[in-house]
Amino acid sequence: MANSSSATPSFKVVLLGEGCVGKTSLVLRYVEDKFNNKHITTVQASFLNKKINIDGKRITLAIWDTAGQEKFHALGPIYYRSSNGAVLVYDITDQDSFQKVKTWVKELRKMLGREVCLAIVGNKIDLEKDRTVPVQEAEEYATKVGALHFFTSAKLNEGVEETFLSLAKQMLAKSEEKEANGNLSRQNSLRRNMLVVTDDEPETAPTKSCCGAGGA
Amino acid sequence: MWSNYDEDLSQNEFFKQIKENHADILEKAAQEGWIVCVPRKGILKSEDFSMQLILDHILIPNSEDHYTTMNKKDVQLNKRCLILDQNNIFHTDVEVLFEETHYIEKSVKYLVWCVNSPLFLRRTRKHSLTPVVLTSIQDCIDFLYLEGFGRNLLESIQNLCVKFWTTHNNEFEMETLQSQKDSIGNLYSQCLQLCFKSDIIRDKCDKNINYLDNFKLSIETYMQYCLGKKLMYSVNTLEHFTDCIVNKIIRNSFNVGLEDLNISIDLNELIIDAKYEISRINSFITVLDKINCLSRIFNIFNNKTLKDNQTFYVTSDDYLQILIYLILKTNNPNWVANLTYIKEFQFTDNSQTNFFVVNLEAAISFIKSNEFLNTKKSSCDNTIFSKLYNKFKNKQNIAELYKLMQGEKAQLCHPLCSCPKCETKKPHDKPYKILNNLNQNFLIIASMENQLDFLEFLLTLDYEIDFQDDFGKTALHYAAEIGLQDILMLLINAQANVNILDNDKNTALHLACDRGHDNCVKALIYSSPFVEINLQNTSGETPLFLATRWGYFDIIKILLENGASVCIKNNRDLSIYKLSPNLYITKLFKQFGKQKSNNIIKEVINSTKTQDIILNISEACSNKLLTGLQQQGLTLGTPAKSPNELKKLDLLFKAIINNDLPLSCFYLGYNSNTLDYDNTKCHPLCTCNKCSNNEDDSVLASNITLDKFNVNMCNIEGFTPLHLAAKYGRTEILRILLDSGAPLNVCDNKTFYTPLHLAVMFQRVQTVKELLKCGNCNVDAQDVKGNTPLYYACVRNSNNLKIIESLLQNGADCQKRNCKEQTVLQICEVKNLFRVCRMLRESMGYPALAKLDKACSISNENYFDDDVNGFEFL
Repeated sequence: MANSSSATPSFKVVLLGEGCVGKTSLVLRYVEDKFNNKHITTVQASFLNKKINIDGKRITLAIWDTAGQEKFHALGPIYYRSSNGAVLVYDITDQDSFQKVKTWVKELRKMLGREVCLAIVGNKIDLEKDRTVPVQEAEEYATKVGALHFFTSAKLNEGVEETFLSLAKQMLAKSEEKEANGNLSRQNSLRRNMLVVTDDEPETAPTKSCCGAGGA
Repeated sequence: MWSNYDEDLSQNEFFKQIKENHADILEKAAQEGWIVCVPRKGILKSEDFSMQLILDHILIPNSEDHYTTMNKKDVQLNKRCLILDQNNIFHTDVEVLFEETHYIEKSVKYLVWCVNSPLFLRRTRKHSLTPVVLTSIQDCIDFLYLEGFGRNLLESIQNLCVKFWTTHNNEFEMETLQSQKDSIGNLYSQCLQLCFKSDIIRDKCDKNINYLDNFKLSIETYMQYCLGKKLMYSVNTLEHFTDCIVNKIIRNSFNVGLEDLNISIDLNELIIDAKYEISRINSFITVLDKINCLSRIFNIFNNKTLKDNQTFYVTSDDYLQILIYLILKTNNPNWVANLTYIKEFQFTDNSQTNFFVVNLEAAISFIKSNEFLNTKKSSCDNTIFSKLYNKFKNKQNIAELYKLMQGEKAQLCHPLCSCPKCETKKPHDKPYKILNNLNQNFLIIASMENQLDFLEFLLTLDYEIDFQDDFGKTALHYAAEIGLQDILMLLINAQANVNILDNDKNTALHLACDRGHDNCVKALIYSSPFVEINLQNTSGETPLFLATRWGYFDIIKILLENGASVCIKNNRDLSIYKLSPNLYITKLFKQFGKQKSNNIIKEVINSTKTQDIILNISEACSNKLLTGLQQQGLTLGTPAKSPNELKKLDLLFKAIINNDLPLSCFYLGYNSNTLDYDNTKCHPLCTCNKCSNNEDDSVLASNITLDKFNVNMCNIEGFTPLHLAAKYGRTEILRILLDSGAPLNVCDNKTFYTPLHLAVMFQRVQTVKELLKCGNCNVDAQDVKGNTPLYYACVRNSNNLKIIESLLQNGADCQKRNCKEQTVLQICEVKNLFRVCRMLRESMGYPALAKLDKACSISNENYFDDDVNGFEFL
């Protein structure tokens, strides 16, 4: 959702997965930097804005953890609508959680189409000995549905940062590609709640004029 | 949570300087985990740049929250602020605005903190007072005041808003959401144009995107502030229906606790704070303030993560559940409208604030969903009371129940033992009279649990039906509160007092209105003529107030239609108009306020004109028929005067149709028991105390009857209860009606059917006989076509000879001519109804037949049987 060329593109990323697969730990691990064990801000596990700069390109990641309990499943669309990316987490020792990921993928593809970047994450690789979801099956599935696949361990801090970084890169590439296609009108239409006042603003740099703060 | 401030660091002069000239430092930072601080744009002038300054801005992590700069100065981090001076003498804390992670290569990175002012810069520069981050309407006004050069800008926006309301005064509330949004959006762009007339502002906006965003936000917010509560009111009107549904669910979930939503008890204290915060949401006018209210709630749970030195993370699940709990526990009647307002009238967008809005939306839709109902738990306790109760409840056999109710013989140490062990065993005197810890008896519990059959059984025992528990509530209160219409009807039927007050002076009607059970409100109002509709509870509120607060449109309408006053004020001196949440309800109040004054005038006129109404109807018929009517001794029913009476009549009709004798008696104002009093006398002329008491009662009862219900009342078509009872063959009810003085020869005002007509047409043999038994029954009453009951008996239902026979026995005249000048006999002959003709002829030839006794009629029947074989000889 690039607001304007000079503003930072802001990408919304939702975390989906069954309860107890470690979604929350994953976010926590991502915030608690290895350089920075005590967090600069009080950590909240449910919502996180992260500004990153990849090769001089600025991105803001808005990472939304979602409620994982089954009773909240129906609320999914409220959370993931208008998101650019999704991290689908399963527990490698729990086949059910992997099946759940599959239903999420289907749902997301149905509701958000091909636009959304998906990353499937097999968490808890520190429990490799109890693995029930075969590596091959998971990776083949990910390729089939056009998703990235990662193995992580929130406990040992393995693979967490790569996951988000790769996803961010993919989302950036996708948005750049879209911009290159001159598909700006469509982006505007996605922002239904926005009021476009461009016409009424005399001479305020037209490139900045799509109203909306730069997703800080 | 970071502040909303954002800037592109690549455009920051200071950071550029470091990148271009000190790449080695950045490389080192990436390796060692140093943090680069960058003062926000526009704070530093290029002449300030020096090597010292740059070194002051590189932080080397020391121990937790402590850093050393490359110049060996200590810095401490506390809640997003860098404390430069440990003794805090100079108040030189520097706010960290945001953090940015810079990746050089894969996984090689360093952190940059953008700070609000430079670190350790001795020379204090006087910089702009303008707030960088706007979080409330006050910030926005300050911003506009400072940047818009005084009051001018503020005043012009205000004028635009005032003008907006004068031009959109005409029921703006009734427009669709989209057109409301468009109108407001238009206003917003007018306000923006106004600001950008100034070259200076435009120039500043061009240079600094953050400044532009702030400008837009503050204009939007100030505009909302100027539009005031009227905008919210119109959203309330838009969403009134959904809000009403959500309110009903919320009001009926008062017993959902923390544990039902899996919220940790440890959070209880924080939840109290949050409850206070969220209860203020309606006192905020602007979207910005409302969102900040939500964000403060979020922060309440995030700022106190440390508890017993253990980090407690509030996850999305927790947050959502907390929010659901808060919504349930806050007496806010317009959650849906608030959500719509925040979602639709926010023109500047921000992903951070979006999160709060989305969570609110999720919480509300969860409450709306069915899933929510499953979280409610039924409490099961194991007290003696509930054990006994469950034992009784599940018994289907009534005899067994009675036995159980007498209590069981327990094995005591010895017959008179009173040791504690035996005390508990001792059978209760009347075990069904046992009370639980809230002093509730079985009657109340059975009502609460919707055990219709069990309650019906309990009502046969000697319970005091208006028994009040610790809260002063009766079984009726609970039935109304929970919304159990059947139970409610049963209790009303059993003569429960409908106007008992609980400890808060609420009647059952109050509770039904508060919880939005329109079925119970209807039941209370329509089935009980005594219900007081304008009683005030301890807050001085009538049921109408409660229904209005939660926006239950249907209930409000019922209450108003049945005489609820719109003039009463509550203890806080609020009138019902002030409380009205939306336009629809306000309109209803106005309409009824007017109608009421009209009604009073009408009533005065009506009381003098009742007689005329009957005449008017009669005039509609031909004069011939009218005189015929009078000659026949037929009368018309008394038309119901008020809608209230009509409703009562309607209910009575339904009871008659359903053959519900007790209910019919109830509507008629009889205690069904009083009917038996005549027979309970020791002997017919007894005057002993008991009998004379009974006599008084029955006299009293019949007096009340006259007051309560006019048995000759008819509906618009002129049908009286007697017509209905005759039509459906409700002989018992018919007898009661006749006993209470209903005129027998009454006819409706269209077809002129008498009850006898109807009973004959619908072949109610018993009813026909019952009607004929009354001496003054007009057997030959003619309807609008001049047809007598005999005509219908012979022509329409020629198979039912018994009815024809009864009619003929009572002297029905088969020679009477109808409007076409045909007699029944002629018609029957034309139609070849041989058996009927023969009966008719016989009745003419042998008029004595009418006076034949039973024995004779039996022989007649035999005779008819023969006739079946030989009727061709006739």
